[in-house]
Amino acid sequence: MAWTLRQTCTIMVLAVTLVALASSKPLLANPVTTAHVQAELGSAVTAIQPGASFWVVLHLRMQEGWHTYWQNPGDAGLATAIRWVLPDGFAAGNIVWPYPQRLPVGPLMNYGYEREVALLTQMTAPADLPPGQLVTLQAKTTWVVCADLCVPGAATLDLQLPVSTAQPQKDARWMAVLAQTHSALPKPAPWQVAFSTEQDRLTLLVSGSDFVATRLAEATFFPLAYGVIDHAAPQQVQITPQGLRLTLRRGTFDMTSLTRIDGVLVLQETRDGASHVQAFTISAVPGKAS
Amino acid sequence: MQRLQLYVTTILCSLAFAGIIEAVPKTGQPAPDFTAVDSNGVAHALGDYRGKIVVLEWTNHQCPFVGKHYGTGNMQALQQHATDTGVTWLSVISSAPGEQGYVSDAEANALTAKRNASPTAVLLDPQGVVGRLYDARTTPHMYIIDAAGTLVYMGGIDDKPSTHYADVKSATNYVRVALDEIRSGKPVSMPVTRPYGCSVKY
Repeated sequence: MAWTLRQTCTIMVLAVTLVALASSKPLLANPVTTAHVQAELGSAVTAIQPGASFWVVLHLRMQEGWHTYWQNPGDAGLATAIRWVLPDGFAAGNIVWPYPQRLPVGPLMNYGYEREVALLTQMTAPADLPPGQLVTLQAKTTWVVCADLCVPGAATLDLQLPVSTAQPQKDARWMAVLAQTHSALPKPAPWQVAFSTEQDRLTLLVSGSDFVATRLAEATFFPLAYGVIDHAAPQQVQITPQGLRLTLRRGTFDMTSLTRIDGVLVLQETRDGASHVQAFTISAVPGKAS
Repeated sequence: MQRLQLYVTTILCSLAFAGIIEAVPKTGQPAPDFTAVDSNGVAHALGDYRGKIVVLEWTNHQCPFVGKHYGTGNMQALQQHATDTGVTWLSVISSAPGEQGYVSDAEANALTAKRNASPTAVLLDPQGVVGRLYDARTTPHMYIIDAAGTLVYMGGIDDKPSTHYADVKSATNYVRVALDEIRSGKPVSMPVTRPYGCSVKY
């Protein structure tokens, strides 16, 4: 029986659609929009070179007035977390966090980010990764986003990249995000830091002669662990001949057996009329500080 | 030397009274005394419970972290276990009027009934007096006072800070462990832990 042109066309369209559906990749979620947060996963490179390391960015954009949290969220809230689902041989580092802001909530203090934040992860591809295929890196992310109320959120984000032995090309958009974030990433501190405790005080002494009282506008210490300091208490800074001294109010945890305090020291200086902020990772050891 | 000590103590006490130096609660020290009114209009003073173990549970029914513990029945089971053994369980709501978690007397009682909770009483603290006295920061935030009136535990309900219901089963419940230790006459092995949750809505 001869088909009409219309019947033939219909069959063809249906056939093509079926073939397309059968061979298509599942829809990849990226970015994902949730209540108050848009989450997106990106890569600094447009292709993965076997054996190479490259930066992957989790970019969170928060609704105005809402914030997400740093690795130590402070008095309340929870840090953003990523659980990676990766092909064999891939390794993901821990999140590299830009320095946080102090976010007061009534008498409490949280540590986190407003508006947007780029959380970085260094990814390493196996050396024996066969080129010419597409690879999917999946990030199962969770966070808590708060304004005056808190909303837990989650997104499974997929990043698909081709594998190529060629020198990887940069992704302009994500390179721009990385460049913008770079100055907010803490650098290892070039100074020795000692800590001591007296009654309800914790004193940090950052030894060095680079500190100039007239230039220093603000110094803030963000401990990595909970309970080391009272997050909400004001931090007193002095510049002495020994260096920069920070007097903090102790937290609730017992410090008698503490051998190290890790954290981020953020220094805001005024130079040539402009404000410069630098963040440093410090690891303080017991010593004379006050 | 004694006179100097007296002067220093007087100054410090005045400053503390003026709120310039806040005294924070400390484990091993007497728990701060308070009086608060419950959801039935009855006043409770901590001193009323000398001779009993007291658990203070800061709560906000709209906080997802509190939701994890009530939604799984974990909090209710703990309240039942505690009160069955003679512990006084006081739930405290320090949300200010208009803030998340603030409830009227009737709403508080309805909540208790609806979720089969069994606290000894629900203390309504909308001015945040008891909350600030105990430096309560999150919901939930847990405190245990022994029969002698000493604060012996303060911190989180368990060791899995999250809003995932599934985490309740695999978590170490600090409050249950502490209550068992107190009952066996042992010191509380983990007297201070990290409280986690939503911020108290002062």
